[in-house]
Amino acid sequence: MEIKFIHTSDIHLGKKFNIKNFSLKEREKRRQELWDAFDEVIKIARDESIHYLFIGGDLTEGDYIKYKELNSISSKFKSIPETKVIIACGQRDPYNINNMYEYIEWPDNVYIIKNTDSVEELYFPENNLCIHSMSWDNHERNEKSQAIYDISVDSNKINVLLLHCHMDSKDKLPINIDVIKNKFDYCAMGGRHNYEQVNENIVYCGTPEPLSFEEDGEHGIIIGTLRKKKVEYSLFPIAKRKFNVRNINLDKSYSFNKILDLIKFSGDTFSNIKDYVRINLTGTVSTEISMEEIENEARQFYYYIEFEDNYSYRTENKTYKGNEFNIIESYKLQFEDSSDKLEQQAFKLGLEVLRKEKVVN
Amino acid sequence: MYIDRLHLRAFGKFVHKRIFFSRKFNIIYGENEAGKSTIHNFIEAMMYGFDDTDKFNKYKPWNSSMYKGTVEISDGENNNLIVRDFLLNTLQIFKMSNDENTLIENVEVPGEYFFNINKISFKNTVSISQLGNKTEKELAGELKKKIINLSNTKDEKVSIDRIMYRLHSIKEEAGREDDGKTLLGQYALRLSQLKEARENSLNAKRQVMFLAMEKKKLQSKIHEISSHIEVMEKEIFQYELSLEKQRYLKALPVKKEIDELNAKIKSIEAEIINCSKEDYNEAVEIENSLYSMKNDRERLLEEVEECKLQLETLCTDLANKIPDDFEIDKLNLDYDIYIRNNEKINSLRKKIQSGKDSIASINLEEIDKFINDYKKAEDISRKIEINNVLTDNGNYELMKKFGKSNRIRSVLTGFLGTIFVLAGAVSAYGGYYYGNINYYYGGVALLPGIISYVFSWKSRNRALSAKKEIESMECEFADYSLSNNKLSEEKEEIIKRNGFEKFDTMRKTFEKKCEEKLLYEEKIKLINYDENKINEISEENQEIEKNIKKRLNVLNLQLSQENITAIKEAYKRKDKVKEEVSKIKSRIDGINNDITKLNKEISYEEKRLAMILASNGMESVESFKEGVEINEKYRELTERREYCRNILDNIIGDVDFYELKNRTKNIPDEVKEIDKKDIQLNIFKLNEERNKYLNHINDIHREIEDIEESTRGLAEIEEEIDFYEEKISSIKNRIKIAEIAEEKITKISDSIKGDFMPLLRKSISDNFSYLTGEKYTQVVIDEDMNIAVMSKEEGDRKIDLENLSGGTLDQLYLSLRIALSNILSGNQNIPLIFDDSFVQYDSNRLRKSIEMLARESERRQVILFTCQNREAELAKEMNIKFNYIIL
Repeated sequence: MEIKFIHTSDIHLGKKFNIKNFSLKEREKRRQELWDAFDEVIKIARDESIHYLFIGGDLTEGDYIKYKELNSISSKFKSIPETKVIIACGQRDPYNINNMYEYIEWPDNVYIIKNTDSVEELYFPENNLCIHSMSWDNHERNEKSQAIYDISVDSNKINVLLLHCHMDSKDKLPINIDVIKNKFDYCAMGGRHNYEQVNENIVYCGTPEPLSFEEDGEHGIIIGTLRKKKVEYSLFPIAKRKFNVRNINLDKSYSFNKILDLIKFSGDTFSNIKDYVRINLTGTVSTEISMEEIENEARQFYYYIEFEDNYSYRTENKTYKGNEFNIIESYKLQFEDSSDKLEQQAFKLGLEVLRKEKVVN
Repeated sequence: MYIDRLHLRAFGKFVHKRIFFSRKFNIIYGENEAGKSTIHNFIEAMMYGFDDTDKFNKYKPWNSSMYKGTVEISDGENNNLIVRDFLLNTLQIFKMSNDENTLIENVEVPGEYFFNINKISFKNTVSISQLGNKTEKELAGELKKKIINLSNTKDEKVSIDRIMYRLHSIKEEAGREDDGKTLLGQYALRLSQLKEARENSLNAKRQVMFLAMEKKKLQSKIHEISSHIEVMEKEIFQYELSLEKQRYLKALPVKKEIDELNAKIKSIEAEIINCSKEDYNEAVEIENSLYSMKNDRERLLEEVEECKLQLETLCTDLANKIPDDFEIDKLNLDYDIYIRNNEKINSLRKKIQSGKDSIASINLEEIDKFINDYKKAEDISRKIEINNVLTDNGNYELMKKFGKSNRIRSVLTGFLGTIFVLAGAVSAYGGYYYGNINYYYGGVALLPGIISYVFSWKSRNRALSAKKEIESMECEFADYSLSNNKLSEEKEEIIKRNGFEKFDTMRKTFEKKCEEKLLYEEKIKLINYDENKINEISEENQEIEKNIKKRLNVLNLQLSQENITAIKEAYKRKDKVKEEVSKIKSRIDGINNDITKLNKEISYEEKRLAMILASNGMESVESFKEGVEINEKYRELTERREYCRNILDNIIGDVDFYELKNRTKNIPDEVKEIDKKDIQLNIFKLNEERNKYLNHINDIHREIEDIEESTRGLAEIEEEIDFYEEKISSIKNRIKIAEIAEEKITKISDSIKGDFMPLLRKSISDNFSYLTGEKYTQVVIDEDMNIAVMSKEEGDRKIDLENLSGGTLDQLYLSLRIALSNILSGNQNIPLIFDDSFVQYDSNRLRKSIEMLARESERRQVILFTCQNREAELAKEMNIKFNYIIL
């Protein structure tokens, strides 16, 4: 029989957001959107009559999730009794004395991997499916790779490895692909926030909803079918919003409107009104132009936009024989060749004030 | 520097326009739209290019495909040529000498190259547009502000105080962390509150964790109790099962009966038709009533038939045919007459017959022959007698006398007449003659004369006829005597022929015979009379018979005694019959009505019956009956089954029999007694305990819920902490940035004050002194930026700007501009360009301005564009030399 499965991880329910420019309201909203993503996973599991839901760690943020919220998760799992939910604990929800999973009444279809030192095997004879998994017991490090290598599998069964690990790290459960790739029919990995196909049968599903600007690209869950030595799957996007980083290189010859247009038309409009956009501004800008105004102006075209000001102001290269007349020119001269960020900011502020002073008069 | 020559090859409205400037004072006069601004803008565009496309388009020639020009500019020694093509955007600068022109390379802006100031400075200093008609006070204030700003910032528009205030206010807005009234202080306070909240939240979390552990413990206790309870319940269960087995055994026969009943029910179930007994009863009732109604109808129909028969009989009765106007009395009368007449006719016929019989013996012919012979003989005898009489002259004599008398009378009356006529004629003549009317009266005698003539004529006629008669008489006499002989012979012959000898005997026989004939005739007369009578009566009877028949025809009857009698009788009972007929008719009507009613009722009832049958799906009452009977049977069976089921229920309760059977399959028939109550008590106690724990768990749940409800989420708090920490850091950063900016700007300002201000002051003073003809020696700016001028005339007295006249302030303003241009350009002596600068000035102030410009033109080139000719006229009046260009 073909086993239908969903593979997800790193939902980070209850997460605390520390994106600098996010308003408190936006953080709250985004936190709710994680719950929405979780609801969507449950809905898909129900609608698609999924047999197994693999969660590769970091389902919740252990330090922040509430008891009540865990109960709500439990009742949502209860609403899909036909789906067996296998939860491995990751770095953010390690299975230890402080983990509240232990104190929640989970429905019968939920299996929480409680082994943190050795690999736990869950066998489902109805599907001849054997799930090998191990949970984390702390936030910091996990060097129990050997336990993974020591797994001996019954090749007559369908073998799945469910693990929260950072393959290439040193102390976050590093795993050698070659050791596992032939052992298991499917390796449901968690721990990386972007979708990544390490091998045909080794996949990081990524977070269903991205959590920071480092996590751009498509996000969703993996939906697939599993047989002995045959796995078929694809990423099913469910993310409501993406994090989008765009680079714009400026030149001192660009006018106010040109820079504004570059920002305005940097991505498709639909994305602009939905996604989180970060514009990395590099290059040089004429001191005549107020970037602060451009940035303020640009905000109205976006759901969310933030700027990384990596450009520098440049004055026109002109020298006069006599005294430099303009105070602004003199001021610019003061900061010439200064690459210190604070000085640059001071320069921008002073320039704004001087420019406003001229405009007022 | 001097602008010597302009060549507008194609610029604005000008094509190949050349303008030559003197190196001193130039006045360019042109009315509005003459092209002053075009030339001014040409100079600016040649030196600095165009700022924007609007201006570029504005001066693009519309009557030439070119857009270019040249400017010759000189520093007194070297002549240079600027060539610019605006369309191609090319610029060439040549240094001109007598031998050759050399191209000066790498010059982008000729203005900056030659004047050493940028466009903004050029516009701010030497290019002077219209000066407002300001009051001295306003002008002084403006000048003061400009000089102060220039002294501090090198920009007359930029105030160092305002800049500092702005930067300072950024810092002020941010405030300090220890000042609760400032933003920073507020944030710091908020942060400390948040940290406290985080601590609370962490505590709450620990508390929740503790409670969750507690709950877990309780749950394991509950688990333990539950397994205890389970064991005990199992024991009870077993016991109860054995009890159930008992119940099962008891229920078994009842179940059997139910099964049998079920089988029976099932066997008839197929036949059960959904029909109602009430409907059936009603149907039967209707059917009965229909039966009786139909009987009634039959009876009524028979009755009607009978009545009709009666009616028919009555209708055929003669009485019924007799019309109302039938004259029975007349008929009777007629008929009586008719009968009587017939009787009369018969009696008359008899009478005639007897009469005829009585005269049959009489030979009338013989008698008639004898009578005729006798009469002939008698006639002959009479003729003989007449002839004898006629031959007697009595008449003859009488006739003769009569003839004679009439002749005499005729003569006499003729004569009398003649006399009268004559008498009359004489009288008339006398009258005529004598002329006396009275004679005419004698004429009347004519009348008796005429009358006498008439009598005379008549008498004469009579006399004539008598004469003729006498003559005939005389002839006759002769004839008679002859015939008498013949007659006598004839007479004798007749007597003899009848066997008589004498006439007298014959007469006697004749008389006898005549009597006999008379009798016969009498009798014939009587018979005829009677026959006539018969005819009369017959006629009458025919009439009567016709009438009677006519009447009888109405009744279609023949004339007969029976019929008449029948009619009579019929007539007598006519009314009775009619009465009887109408009675029967109304009876029939009544019965018919009843039948119609009955029919309606029958049809209604039939329909009702059909409806009842149809609603019950029945075809007939019989099938209905069968259906109802089956239903009845079914009902009885189901009631019985229900009864049995109730019994079964009483025995086994809600439990399914088969389930019970299955459940107790392996249970022995005997009951093993236990102390159920005791066990139940234990279970109860354990349950209570478990409930206690469960309640405790519920309490824990509630407590956890309360805790989580009352504490903010840790994530939220920490996010807010991050947020405010970030805010504080960014504000601090901003303060730092403001400080740096402040420091830098102060540094610049200080350096401007230190380096630039003395220079500016000196340059303004020099120029002011020069322009005022050393009336004022210098301009003084103290540390507090108070500005004054030193008057030479008043013994180096300080005079505030507010106390200077408009003209002097103009001089000061120009001094400021020149000073600036000198400083900025490094004393390049850039030409001064005035564009309608003095339009609003009165002639007195204009005079002073012209004087000032003339003075300045001694040092540098001055170009004055004007739309008035006042300037030129004043200059002429003041004997000032100038190059006058009229556009």
